[in-house]
Amino acid sequence: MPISISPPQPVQYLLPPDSDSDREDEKVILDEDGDFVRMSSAPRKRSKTISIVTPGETVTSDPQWMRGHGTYLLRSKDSTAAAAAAGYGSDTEMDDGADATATINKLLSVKPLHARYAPEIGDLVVGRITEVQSKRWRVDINSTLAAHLLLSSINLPGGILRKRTSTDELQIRSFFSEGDLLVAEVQSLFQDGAASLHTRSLKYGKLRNGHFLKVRGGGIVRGKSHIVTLEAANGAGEVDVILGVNGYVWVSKKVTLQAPPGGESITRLEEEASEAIYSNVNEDIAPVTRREIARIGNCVRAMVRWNVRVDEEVLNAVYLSALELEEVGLGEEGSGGSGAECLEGEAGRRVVEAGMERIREANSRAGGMVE
Amino acid sequence: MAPLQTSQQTGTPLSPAELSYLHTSLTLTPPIRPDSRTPTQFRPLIAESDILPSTNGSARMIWGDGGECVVGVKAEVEKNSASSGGPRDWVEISVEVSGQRDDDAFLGMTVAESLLVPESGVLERLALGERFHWKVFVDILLLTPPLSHPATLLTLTTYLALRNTFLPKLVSEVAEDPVFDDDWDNALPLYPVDRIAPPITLLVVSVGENIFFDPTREELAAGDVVLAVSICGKKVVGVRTLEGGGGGVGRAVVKRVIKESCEVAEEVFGSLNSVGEGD
Amino acid sequence: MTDRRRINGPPEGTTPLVFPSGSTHKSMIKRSPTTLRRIFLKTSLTPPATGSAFLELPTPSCPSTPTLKLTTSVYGPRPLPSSTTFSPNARLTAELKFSPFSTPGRRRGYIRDGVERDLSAQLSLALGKSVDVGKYPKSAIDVFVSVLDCEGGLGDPNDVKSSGVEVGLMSVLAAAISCAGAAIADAGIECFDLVAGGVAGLIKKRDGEVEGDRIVADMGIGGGNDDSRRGGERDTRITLVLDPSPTEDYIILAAAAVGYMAARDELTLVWTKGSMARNCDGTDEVESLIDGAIAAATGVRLVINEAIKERLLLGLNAVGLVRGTAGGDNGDRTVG
Repeated sequence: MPISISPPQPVQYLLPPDSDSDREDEKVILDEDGDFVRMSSAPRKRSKTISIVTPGETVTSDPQWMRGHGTYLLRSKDSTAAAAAAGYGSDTEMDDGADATATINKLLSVKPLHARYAPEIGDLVVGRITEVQSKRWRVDINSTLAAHLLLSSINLPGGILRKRTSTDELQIRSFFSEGDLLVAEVQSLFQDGAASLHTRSLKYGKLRNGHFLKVRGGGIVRGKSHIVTLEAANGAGEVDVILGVNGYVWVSKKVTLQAPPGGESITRLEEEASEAIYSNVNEDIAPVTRREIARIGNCVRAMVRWNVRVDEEVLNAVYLSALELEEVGLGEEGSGGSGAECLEGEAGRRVVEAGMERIREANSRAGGMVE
Repeated sequence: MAPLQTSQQTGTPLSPAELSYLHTSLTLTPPIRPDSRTPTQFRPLIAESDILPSTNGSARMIWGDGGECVVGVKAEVEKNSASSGGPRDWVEISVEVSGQRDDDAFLGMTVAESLLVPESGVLERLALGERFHWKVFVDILLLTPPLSHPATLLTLTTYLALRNTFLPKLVSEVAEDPVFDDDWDNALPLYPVDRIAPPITLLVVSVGENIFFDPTREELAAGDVVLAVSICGKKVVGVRTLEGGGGGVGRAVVKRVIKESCEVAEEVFGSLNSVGEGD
Repeated sequence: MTDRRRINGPPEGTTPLVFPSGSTHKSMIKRSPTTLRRIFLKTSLTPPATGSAFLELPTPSCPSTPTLKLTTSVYGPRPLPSSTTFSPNARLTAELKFSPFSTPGRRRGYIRDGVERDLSAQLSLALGKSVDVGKYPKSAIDVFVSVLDCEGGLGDPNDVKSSGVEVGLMSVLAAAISCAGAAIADAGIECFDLVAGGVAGLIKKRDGEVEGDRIVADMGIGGGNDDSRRGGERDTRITLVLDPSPTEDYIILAAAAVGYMAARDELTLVWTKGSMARNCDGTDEVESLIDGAIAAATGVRLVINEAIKERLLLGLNAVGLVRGTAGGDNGDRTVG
């Protein structure tokens, strides 16, 4: 069916806020799972004191609190703090990103429920070059201010430790030009909050061999690892998913650097890599791989749409469910490739739910073994 | 080789690697779209009609990528006057895109062009006796412009609104001043079921040998040619080229695009008509 | 200090063009559906512009009836203003403007209206695909078309024939494309191909008569599958006409305008109006219309080629590189 038109429905979220008991269970199980830091003990403690405020609302008049981000002092009574950030009631989000007052010791701050990405040092971001200047690039990272990437904070071809020369300045456009996508880390923040990026690692640099997608701000939360490698089905090889904290996601074929055996090759590897690092030419990507890249992209989009935190374990589970759904769908309709891979709307919800179910099962099994 | 193309809507071009990946994926047989849709598959839509009580007909539609459009149709009785341009002036269409100061000339033109196709019979239905006529105002409000081109969203919503537009029944004689039936239940539809329905416009992008409906912004950027095909009933009432692509396109491709649009449009009409029935 | 905000006039004056009187007044010949109107096209008539062209259609029998006259001037490639962002390709902008006195009847205002913006957008789209923009990074190519005189209604309300499709705008656009194509070639800008514009229409004689020499595309509309055309019209025959004129006495049911690159056999622009059905013999009216418009554009292309060649040969002649007279037939010339 090429088109489906449905009547409007009340907004649904996958994890309703009132299913607290369910979430409590989940937390316990997840805590036992060693490396799964989904809800560690610290935010759990904090989550008890979360309260939703609206702009202008008095947060406290108690002078013992220190004023943090998102609050201001009333002019008349100088000890009264009020919320300054925007946001409205329904806290359907998970703990992160809620417009909630968070207190750490005596510091009181308000985090907006929905806001544009605010860069922090160490964040992994995916960005797009918007402007080339004489010694630096301006990069769109979906934030309030454009980030800067200095010529001195990229890997120049011909060795990582090479000194920047005026020749490099002249051919700045041969490294990154307008529209190019790159993955970088936030190195430092300027006074005004603009980020300064760097790509001085082989993990970072220009993006190729894949597909870019943008998800809602706050859809990707900071986690342990933002570069996820999935073993794609149907013999498609490995697929890299780069989850930029700023909501930009890159799904691509895993690029393998042919590392010759032996320890001395590290510098050579770097040199070889740097030759091709600014190329704009994609490798040959088989159609099966392209299909799986698209499917994984859909999974990420569906997970963000239905408010599920995107990380390696969940993404894997949802991806497996998506594969299953396609098989089921093919069985039902009997026609090959009838768009069952498309995960918009209701299909996405089903897949994400199935994926969450899969994780719950796996966790309870693991929990059982521990006991 | 992917075309070097910048989409004016985005400002920033896509990166060469991205474009060539998209272009190759879309030229494969079968093609692979970035969101795994089939070439003729649309993103899911949310639609409702009859939402504004103070209009003669209205509809609202939400597009897959967040675009939202509201259309209200109002009709007023107006005296026939010699100075105005006759029946062509009886339908007035205005498109407003919120957040944009200057409305896109193209949008209004496409809707008006396809709506005022002669032989659709609408203008005859607007006549009220000898001296008066209905003047129909179609106000299209694009609340959030979609990321891709808004033409399809706009016309589908207009279609729904016009299908649900009712005009009070005339009870006076031809030569008299018009007097209308008070009962809304007796109102006559502007587009009766057995007559030709309002037109819709489909956006089609062709990449290599493949043709895609409901293209996303990225697909538009990677496409060879973007056509807006307006279809009314079973007939093509307008074809227009939109920005996009580098180089020309063979005539065979254009003809195939038009032919396939007709086929897809029939299914779209079917889905749109079922929206009204569901309520 | 020159004013940077507008395009400055030439530093030195230019002499106005003198047209010999009466040369364009020819009586209208009745043409068959496949013949185009004769086109007068001349390039390099605006000295300050990099390239320019003038296009005119012959005046019909009555000299007071409007005809189509337009001039195109091409400026560039010239550097983009420093305020604009980097562009690896040349930016081609086209602007089509109707002179206030161009329309028959009502005067047209100076302010750019929707029609002009729409035509400008379509024009730049049609031209942009033919120019090798990759050759000129960081530069702008500006095309200005001004319509001096145009025939037919332009969607104006005070239009007499409301029963047919407006073809006036389409002929303006097609002529603008052809003229701009010639002007771009005259400017010496590298192109893949030249774009020519062509229009074709499906017409019905106003009085229902069909003449014997209407040969093309005998499209009788079959009975049952066509519910929209009212009963009285079914028996009249519908003919495909290349380059339909809005002033002639027939009703245009549907029309198509194309921008066509003849050497590459590619379309850069398609614009149709009016409803086009599928015939009982399986051919689409859309398809035959597009084919017709392409045929018209191919005809126009020959004129463009001639006009460009003529100009070049004139120049070469002046420096004595070519023997023989400039202009004229289609024959190959040897450049000595």
